[in-house]
Amino acid sequence: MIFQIILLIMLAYVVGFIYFGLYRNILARIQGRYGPTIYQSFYDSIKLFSKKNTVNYGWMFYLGPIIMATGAVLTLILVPVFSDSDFLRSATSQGNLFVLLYLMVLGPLGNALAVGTGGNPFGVMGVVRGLTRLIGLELPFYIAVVGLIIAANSSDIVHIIDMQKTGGLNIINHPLLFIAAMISMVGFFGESPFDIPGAPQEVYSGPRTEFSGKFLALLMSQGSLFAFAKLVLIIDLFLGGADSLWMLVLKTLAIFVTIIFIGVVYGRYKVEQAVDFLMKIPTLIALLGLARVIWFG
Amino acid sequence: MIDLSSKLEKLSLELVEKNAHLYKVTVKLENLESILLSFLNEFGYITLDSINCRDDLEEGLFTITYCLQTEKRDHVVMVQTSIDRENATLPSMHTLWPQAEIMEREMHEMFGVDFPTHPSLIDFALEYWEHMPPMRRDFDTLEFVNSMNPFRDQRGDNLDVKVEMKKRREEKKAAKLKAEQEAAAKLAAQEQQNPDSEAQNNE
Amino acid sequence: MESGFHGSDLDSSLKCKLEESGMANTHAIMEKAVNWFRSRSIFVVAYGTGCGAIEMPPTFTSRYDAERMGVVGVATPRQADLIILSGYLAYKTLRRVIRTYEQMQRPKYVITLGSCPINGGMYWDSYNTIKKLDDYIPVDVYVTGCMPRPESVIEGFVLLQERIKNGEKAGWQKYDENLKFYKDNQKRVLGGHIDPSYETDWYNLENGGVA
Repeated sequence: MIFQIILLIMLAYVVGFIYFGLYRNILARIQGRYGPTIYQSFYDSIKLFSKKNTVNYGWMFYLGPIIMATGAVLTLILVPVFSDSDFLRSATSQGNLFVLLYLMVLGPLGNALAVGTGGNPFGVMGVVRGLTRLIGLELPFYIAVVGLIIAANSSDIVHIIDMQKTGGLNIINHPLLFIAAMISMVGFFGESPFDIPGAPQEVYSGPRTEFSGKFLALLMSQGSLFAFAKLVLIIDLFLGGADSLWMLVLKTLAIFVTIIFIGVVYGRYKVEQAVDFLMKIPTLIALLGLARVIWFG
Repeated sequence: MIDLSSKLEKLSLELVEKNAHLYKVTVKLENLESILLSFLNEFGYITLDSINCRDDLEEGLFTITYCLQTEKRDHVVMVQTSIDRENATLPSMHTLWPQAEIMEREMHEMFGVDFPTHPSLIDFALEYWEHMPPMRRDFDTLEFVNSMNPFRDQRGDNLDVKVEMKKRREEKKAAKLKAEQEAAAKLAAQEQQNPDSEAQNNE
Repeated sequence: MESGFHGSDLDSSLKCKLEESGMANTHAIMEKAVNWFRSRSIFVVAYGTGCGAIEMPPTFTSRYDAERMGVVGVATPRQADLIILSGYLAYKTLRRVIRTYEQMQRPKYVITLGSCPINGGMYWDSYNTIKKLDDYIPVDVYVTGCMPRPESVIEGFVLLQERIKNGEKAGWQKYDENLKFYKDNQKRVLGGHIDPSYETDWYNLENGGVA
């Protein structure tokens, strides 16, 4: 199992960084630029890991990125990657959707603790914005997940995947839940219109302002791991999982590119606008989907 | 404008016309505050464009000019006064026009004019300035610059570009000529050494 | 709190350990590889000091797109490898530039644009600008011109990338070695008012450096 976990982390690291490179390329092409190479994120992360460090704010500052990385890795190993085989299904039997939803909040918590120790005003501002936005993001996503749990009569992700093999994909059976979860996912990926916590030109890099060198590299790495985990979770819940590597890449890429395109098109909401929007429209969609699940199955 | 000049005659002041949009009044320092007050309240000059300072080093005076405009913005009236260059002191006008505060702060920094009634006479553009105010005419800028920042050693900044370029061009020409001569001499030497091969080639 | 000049030097400690275990060769190969990655990824903080600030946007956006060489703008000096000083520097600006430069994490590089940081340019006899920037902070690449076009700026990036790739001695190493020279010069023109005075006493580094 240890071997599988290490393999999974390596796979997620590579795929996550290549997706991030792809993201930068697509963004560049949309803006009429040539864009960096697809491996640019690897270069950045290796360079950042090799930088020297003269910043010291105490042990909590060091611990913050590690807590975030822990949250990302734990989320990753609880999500089953392939639907048919037991391969890379590292620790899925140990937890269910409730544990997963709990672990997804661990990252922002660690971030808040570290940034608070650093005391940079822009960082604190970014964290406050991020946590406020998180209230809005979680509500529609949690309602969508609860709807799926009721529909499948189980909180086990493997069971939800198996159910989709016989009863059809959740994206077709429960489209309202899918739309609500996708709107939340745009926010979880830090895309516009919900990219207020790290808004450049406003709060510099937001929570990342004070992190340099190795800390920043760790944050980038955990970001790519977490992004992969979230993509796999979405395809497990709504697209029936993936039975092969090609299917995995195809489905995650489809979700990822959709999120990028949504992010490119829209402008940025203010934090109260973002929470206002998320509390109204996606939550309403999710509640309608939930009602449909309860009364019509 | 006739209106203004008749009003000023009552205060025994003369309005000098510079051109159709520019007029000048010269006042004494002790009357300055009351006259500017009447310009604002009675004549309707609600805008203070700028406060200018001129350093008359030879006469030992600073000439201060207040540029005023009415609401119509069709002409400017300059109210001019002179103050002693040493112990230069002026009353602050920030109570009449709020924008005077920052203009006076700049004047204090650049000319060393003191404003005893000014609320915030702190640094404006310079920081921790310890020398003579830099816009005074007896401030030797060149000497100050050279003492703070000496020229780069490796580079002759006092060289004349024209002369240098001419010299360089001549050097280039001489080098080219020399190379041509050398090549010709080499060719001649070769011809001398093996005339047979040359003849064969020609055939 | 910034621990200042005597920060944890993980790189050199690693080198010592490797040399003890007879693996200095491995370190050299690693250094070479890391230098290549460093040259391919340069995070820039663009400090718009003068007229050259207007050349930055076209360099980084659609027209000239420096990102295709891995040169990306970042928001804070903490994350940056390279600071671009684009034009003349007043004493007031120099004070901020020194502070920004010292906040950057090693290895760090400096590129200047225009002739003003070299010899004062057209402001050579101003009472408020400096003439030679390399008296105060070390400069890696001067991009000359008044102002240099974005093509020249990109050529400067390429030159810097080659230097990093070859592992040549960079400005920050000179700064660390000749700290007294630079600090004396800074003190001469800035009159000792160098921020942050509450963190490190640069003039008494021998006595612990705590103000």
